[in-house]
Amino acid sequence: MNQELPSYPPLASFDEISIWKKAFHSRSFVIGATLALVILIAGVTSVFWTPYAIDVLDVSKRLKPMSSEFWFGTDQYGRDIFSMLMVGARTSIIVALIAVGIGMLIGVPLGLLAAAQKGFLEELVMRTNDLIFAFPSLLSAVLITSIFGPGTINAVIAIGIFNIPVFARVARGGALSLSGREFLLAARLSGKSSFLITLEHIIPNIANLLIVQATIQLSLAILSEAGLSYLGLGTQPPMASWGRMLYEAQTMVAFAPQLALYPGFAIIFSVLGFNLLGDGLRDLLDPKMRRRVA
Amino acid sequence: MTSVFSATDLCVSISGKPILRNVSFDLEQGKILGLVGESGSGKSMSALSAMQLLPEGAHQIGDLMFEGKNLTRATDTEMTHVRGKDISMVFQEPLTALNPTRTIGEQVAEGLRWHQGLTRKEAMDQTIDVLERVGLGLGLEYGLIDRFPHQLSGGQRQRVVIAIAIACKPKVLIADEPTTALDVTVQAQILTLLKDIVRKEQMAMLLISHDLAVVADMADTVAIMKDGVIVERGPTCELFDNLSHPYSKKLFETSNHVPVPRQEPVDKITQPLLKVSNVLREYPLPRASIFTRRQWHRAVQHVSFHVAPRQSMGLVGESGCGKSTLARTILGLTPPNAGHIQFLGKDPYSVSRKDRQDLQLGIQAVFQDPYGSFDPRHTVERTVGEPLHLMRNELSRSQRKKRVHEVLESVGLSSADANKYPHEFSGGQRQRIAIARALVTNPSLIVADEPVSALDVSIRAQILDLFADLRDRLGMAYLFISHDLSAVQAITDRVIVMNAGRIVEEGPTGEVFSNPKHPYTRILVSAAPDLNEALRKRREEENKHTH
Repeated sequence: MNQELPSYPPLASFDEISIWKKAFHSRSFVIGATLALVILIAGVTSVFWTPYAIDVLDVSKRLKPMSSEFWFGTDQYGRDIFSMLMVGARTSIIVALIAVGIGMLIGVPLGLLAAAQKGFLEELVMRTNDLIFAFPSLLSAVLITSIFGPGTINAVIAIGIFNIPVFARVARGGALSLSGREFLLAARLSGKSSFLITLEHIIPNIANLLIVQATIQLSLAILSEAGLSYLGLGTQPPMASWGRMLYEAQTMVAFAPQLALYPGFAIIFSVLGFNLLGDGLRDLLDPKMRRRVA
Repeated sequence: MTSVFSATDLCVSISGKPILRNVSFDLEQGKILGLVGESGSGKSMSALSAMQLLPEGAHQIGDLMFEGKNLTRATDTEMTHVRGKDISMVFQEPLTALNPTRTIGEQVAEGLRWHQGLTRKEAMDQTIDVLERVGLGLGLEYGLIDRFPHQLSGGQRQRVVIAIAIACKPKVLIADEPTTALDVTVQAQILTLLKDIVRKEQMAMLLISHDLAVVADMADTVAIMKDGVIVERGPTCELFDNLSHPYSKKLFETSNHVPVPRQEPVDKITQPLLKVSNVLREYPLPRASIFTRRQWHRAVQHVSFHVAPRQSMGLVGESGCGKSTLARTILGLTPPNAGHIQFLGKDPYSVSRKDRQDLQLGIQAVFQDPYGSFDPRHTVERTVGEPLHLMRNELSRSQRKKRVHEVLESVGLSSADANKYPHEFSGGQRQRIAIARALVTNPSLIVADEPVSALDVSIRAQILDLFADLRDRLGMAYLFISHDLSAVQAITDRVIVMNAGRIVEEGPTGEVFSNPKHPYTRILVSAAPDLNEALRKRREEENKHTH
């Protein structure tokens, strides 16, 4: 007689070849990956080469239209917009990566700890998370940067703090969905400590969830960085940032609207790109969601 | 006899994959047709097809004739007047078949009001009548009609599901594994109820089951299915007497299969290997409010027993009797609230971490679920070799590898399987991998918690043989936990019967099963479905009719 088995969602299959095959058929994955790749390449290239230096002001060349000399034209200070967009991509990516990294490195262990230690510690971690969640993240980032002073590093820290509860929740949820699995009992019978079990069994099995979440958080972090820089609280000149470019274009919007449009589109495409990439990855890696979509 | 419902040449495919091929059957008034087969044979799909409840993407051809109408051509609106009124269905899992937010009365009355256009009051009167028909008359006095599904026992819930199915006096009743989720003693009651209803109300019934014993006991005619095809069919006794198709022969043999019992059972207690004394294990229940005292559920209450070296000890009992909790306590996973465990003379909960790891080498486990017991991201070699972590200072990498290959071979797999992942194996092979993992440290005691319960009959027979073979060849002791009495009978020398957290009977296996002393053991033994017993009874009945 079959005794009733608890019904678990299927774990992700390990068939990586078929995942890549599916990836090329997923429209959101292909578009998202392409956009993200374009931004990444632009950012990385800007480290070695940009068409023009962005910290040299030359008022004689100001507000040039698109041409073969200045691909996207120049701004009111005569800086090459294409070069600034490239450097802005670098700023966005670095800020987003470090901020999401902070969120993951602190949030994931906290979430796993909360899942493993039921009781007071779990309550403490999760309720603190709720507290951070309760404030609109951008507003609190504004608060932090205005207290500790504007700058890229403070912006990174502020955005990073708001990524912690997101990853703590995802990690805890993933770990809880694994709890009670017989392979975890078998690992305990093998004399492995909770730390080793977490490292060998739990983290690899929730990695998919974390990758998907990280991709989506990247897009949100890019948006937050742009927001902070727009308010003058993030990246400071002479370093370029898309948010800063928007701010500087604001006074010129009546007679040079293209100055606002270029960074605006850069922000839109990068957020869209990482979001689509995250959605695509979720469909590919997370079988639970895939079933819901199907 | 008149055929009420007939399916002819039913073929179903789902997104191009054939599921059913030329399935035909007739359901006759007052008779039961039993449809048996292993998982994936298409028996549930046959039921869904008969109700026209096929999943999306399914393509169906063939005819379903009911009262001169062809249901395959009926529209969905027409079918809503047939389903539940003329043809209705009993599902496997009563808890998910009922709506948790509505009372029993409302759920039974729903069909009556919809199909017969009764007023709320008339429907309620009829509901009482229906609940009496399914043997819940006594419960009505205790306000059963206003209760919610979670307040009932598993058996009561299945009676309610049956009440909903028969409320409108349907002509055809389809029961898909109606007792699989239930305990044996409850199963026996529900089967008797279904049989009575079919006889009394002259319904035609399609009973789907994987259990030949259940079908042999219930059905007038039996059809055996494999891979979407009915391979053999006939009146129950005749069919089982002259099975001709190789698959049905194999199914019959494996259902009856019992591994050779040991020549000299180790049923005396000598120097104990494992000593369980007065173990008590409680679980906190959720508090009703912060002002009330916390309630505790006593899963295991003052249990004591010994297991001798090389002895195979059985532990039987129904779900919730505390057998899995006890197993975890013995394995060293959850400490007891009171009492002691002693393994090789040492208490795993009070020795040092080093000693505890040494004790763990001697005691390993095999779990129930062949799908949930492996990390999908680890190779078989890594999974099977995991317990060798306990000997990480003594074994080199190559010794470890060699040991894993040795155990894989001793459970009937090959060393080439070591680099594969669990999902590449079938259920039976996975259970072999689980056994290999338990054997890898060469333990002196293996705790097997329902190791054959999730397996199909033919695979179950193989795994039981493997357990018997390992027991005789390697000479380790077993604590074999199961609700499946025939499996326990085959494997164990001595048996413990548990009920509601307590041991009610203990003794040599043969003695306990042939001459049970405690009333609970007697009920358990008599309720267990037995294929040969069912066929014998049926023949007696038939002889009575002919004379």
